[in-house]
Amino acid sequence: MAAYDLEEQEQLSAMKAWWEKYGNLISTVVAVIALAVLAWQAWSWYQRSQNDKATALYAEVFLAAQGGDSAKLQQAANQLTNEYPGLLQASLGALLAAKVDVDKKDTKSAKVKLAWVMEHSKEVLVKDLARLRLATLLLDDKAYDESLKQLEGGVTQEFASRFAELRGDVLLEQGKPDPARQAYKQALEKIPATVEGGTLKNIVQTKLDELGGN
Amino acid sequence: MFDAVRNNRRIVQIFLALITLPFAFFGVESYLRDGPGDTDVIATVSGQKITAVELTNKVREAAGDKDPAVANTPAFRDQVLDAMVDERVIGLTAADVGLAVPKSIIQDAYLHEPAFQENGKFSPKKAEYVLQASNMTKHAFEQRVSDVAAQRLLIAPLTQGSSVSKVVLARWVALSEEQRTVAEWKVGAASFKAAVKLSDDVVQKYYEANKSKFETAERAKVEYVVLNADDLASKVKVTDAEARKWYDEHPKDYVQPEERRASHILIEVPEGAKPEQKAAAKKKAEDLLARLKAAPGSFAQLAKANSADGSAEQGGDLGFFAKGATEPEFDAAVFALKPHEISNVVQTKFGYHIIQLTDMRGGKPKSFDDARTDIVSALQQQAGAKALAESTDQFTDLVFQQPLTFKPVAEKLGISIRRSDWVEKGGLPAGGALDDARVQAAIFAADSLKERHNSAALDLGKGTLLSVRVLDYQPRKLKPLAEVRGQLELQLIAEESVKLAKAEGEARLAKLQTGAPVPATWGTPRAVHRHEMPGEEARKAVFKEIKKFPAYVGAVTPEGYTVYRIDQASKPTVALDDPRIGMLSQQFAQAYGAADWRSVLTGLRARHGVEIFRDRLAAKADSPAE
Repeated sequence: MAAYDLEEQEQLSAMKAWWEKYGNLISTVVAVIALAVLAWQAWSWYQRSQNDKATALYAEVFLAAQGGDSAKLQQAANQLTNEYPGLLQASLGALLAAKVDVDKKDTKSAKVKLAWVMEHSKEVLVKDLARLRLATLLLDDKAYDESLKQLEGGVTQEFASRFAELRGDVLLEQGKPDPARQAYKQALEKIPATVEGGTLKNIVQTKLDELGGN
Repeated sequence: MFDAVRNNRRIVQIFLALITLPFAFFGVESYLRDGPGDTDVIATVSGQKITAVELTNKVREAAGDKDPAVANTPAFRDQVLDAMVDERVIGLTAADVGLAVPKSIIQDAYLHEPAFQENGKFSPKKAEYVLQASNMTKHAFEQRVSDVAAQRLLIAPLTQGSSVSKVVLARWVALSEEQRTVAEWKVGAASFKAAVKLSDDVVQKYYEANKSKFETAERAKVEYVVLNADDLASKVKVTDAEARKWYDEHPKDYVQPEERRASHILIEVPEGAKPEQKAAAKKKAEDLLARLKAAPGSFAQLAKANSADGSAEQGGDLGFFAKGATEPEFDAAVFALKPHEISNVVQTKFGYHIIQLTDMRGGKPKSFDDARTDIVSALQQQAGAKALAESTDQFTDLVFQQPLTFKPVAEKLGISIRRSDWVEKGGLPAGGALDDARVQAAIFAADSLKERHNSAALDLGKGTLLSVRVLDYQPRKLKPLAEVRGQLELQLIAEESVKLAKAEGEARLAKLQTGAPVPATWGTPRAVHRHEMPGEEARKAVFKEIKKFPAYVGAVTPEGYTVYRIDQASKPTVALDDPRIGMLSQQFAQAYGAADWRSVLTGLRARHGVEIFRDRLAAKADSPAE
């Protein structure tokens, strides 16, 4: 190997000095980045596998609900809510299971499941839907105060009219037509301007007319 | 040059680093792909684009065999676009929560897609063919299946199970069954017509303020040429020799399907029968078979006496049927028999059969003379499609090269030039080739009206090409007042007389309500339901809360104004176990479920940042799609 000429030797030693000064730092930075990427990949892999497992369980609940296999449904729904309480799949499964309970006139179990969704779901729309269904079941139990309590507090604007309408229904059952009228009026104001909303509008308007309100 | 690089090494390094950076984040394909231009984007969902082309395809798909007059409306297009946006939003939401549809479900859907079946079985060849025909890859198909499945998984819990309170439903039943006894005193608007005096001024003012109501539609007279595969086909002459050659080369295509006639004796085995019952049935069948073997001529007799099938009356005769029309085991047995042979005992889900083949027909080639018409039309169609393919380029070029006339294209391709009467923009379909939305768009495109050039060759599908040129054009035009005055006056008089009737009616009502005696002409009192009232106003008036009877109310009705005297109200009490509640419960649950799902979608849409460019949508509709 031919000897380096002077200029090259100079460059070489400059590089060596530079590496001595920054080498450790660079190695550390590279190592940290690599670790971070690895950790992130592992985390998303873990999440994906959790999601997939929860979805598979949820699909079981779904099929059992369709096929009317209630033993299997209960078992899958329980496993789903126990093992993956934070995932949307669990909330959806619980909602479906509660629906089947109501169909079987087992409103007691349905209420437990709906309360579970309210407590565990991270999706506010799903939470509100569970609240609404729970309040409806409480109205049929003649537990008016409890029902109203569910309907109190903040609600997403998408469900505001449904909450107000049900509040009107409960108040009417309690023998309070004036506040009921107010609630129906509120419901009318907040009904979304969609085709589906139009149907609800007719219903609420008729209830309001019945109370002699305009 | 290299010196410059060496001397400015740092700068060059930084420059190189900057170039590589974008690749690290965006990948190379964003440079290579020719993305849609911004004006082609009709809507975005979380930044994902929906283009005009995608929308057009989807509209065409959704229209199916709907009336084109419906399918071409903006309302229908909006509806399709809304559904597309919803689909995207749902897809993104499912992806966000990791609701990945299991592979097994997708594979299952692929294998069971009805369009991919041949003879009741999945056929990879047919699947490939169907996908190709609809311009879809297998991956795209699987994606669609997965989307649909994810939608169902997501929708079901949110739409089903919105239970409705029984007490609310009971109230609802009661109020819709409630009856009120009313007598009517009608104040007809017609009798006030004579009293209405319209000043010139009023008519003029209304005309000025509502000019758009009195405009004629934009219209054009056009000339057009159509190149059509069917027309081309009908011109093709097929000689006997050609037809004969085709017949000889495709013997398999001209065979009548084979049909067989059989008789059977059925010894029934009911579903869920016990093993000993089955054994007894089998024994009986075997005994019968033994007797038949001894005396084959007694089949009809034995069938009449023993068969559990409806055919027993006819001695077991089932008539002619093709292969594949009966239960698989039965089918296999019948098509394995020789004429008049009697089968062994055959088991199907109905029980045990003994079968005799009595007759056969078909399965033989058709004679050339029988097949001739079929062959000629098939060859003509082939030739027509080929001729269309050959002429398409010529047609396209000629209408483009000589933009002011159709003569060259008509002469060259032997097609006729047709002229239309006035065609209205957005008018009712007149029947014929010009009804297509693409043709309409081409006629009324700004360029076409200005330049009066031949349109591009429009591919209308089903082997039809069309080009159109505007000959004469009338823009929207305001009809002069003199022309519309008569009708307008009638309309205004009707409106005014309703107002007069209302004033008169309200005056009478006010008097009645004070309790003063009023000489009134009441109709016969009758009991009415809510839903029987004419219009919302009357319904509200008559069914409002009433403390003291008789009560007087009034409302504008289609004929004018009506004063109602309410004599009585009767509202039923409805128990919570009333059967009507169960029926209503489903209807209500559905209505509330649908509304809840729409609410969830609205919420999700807001979260995913949906933007719809309605102005671009309108602009697209005015210019040809091609």
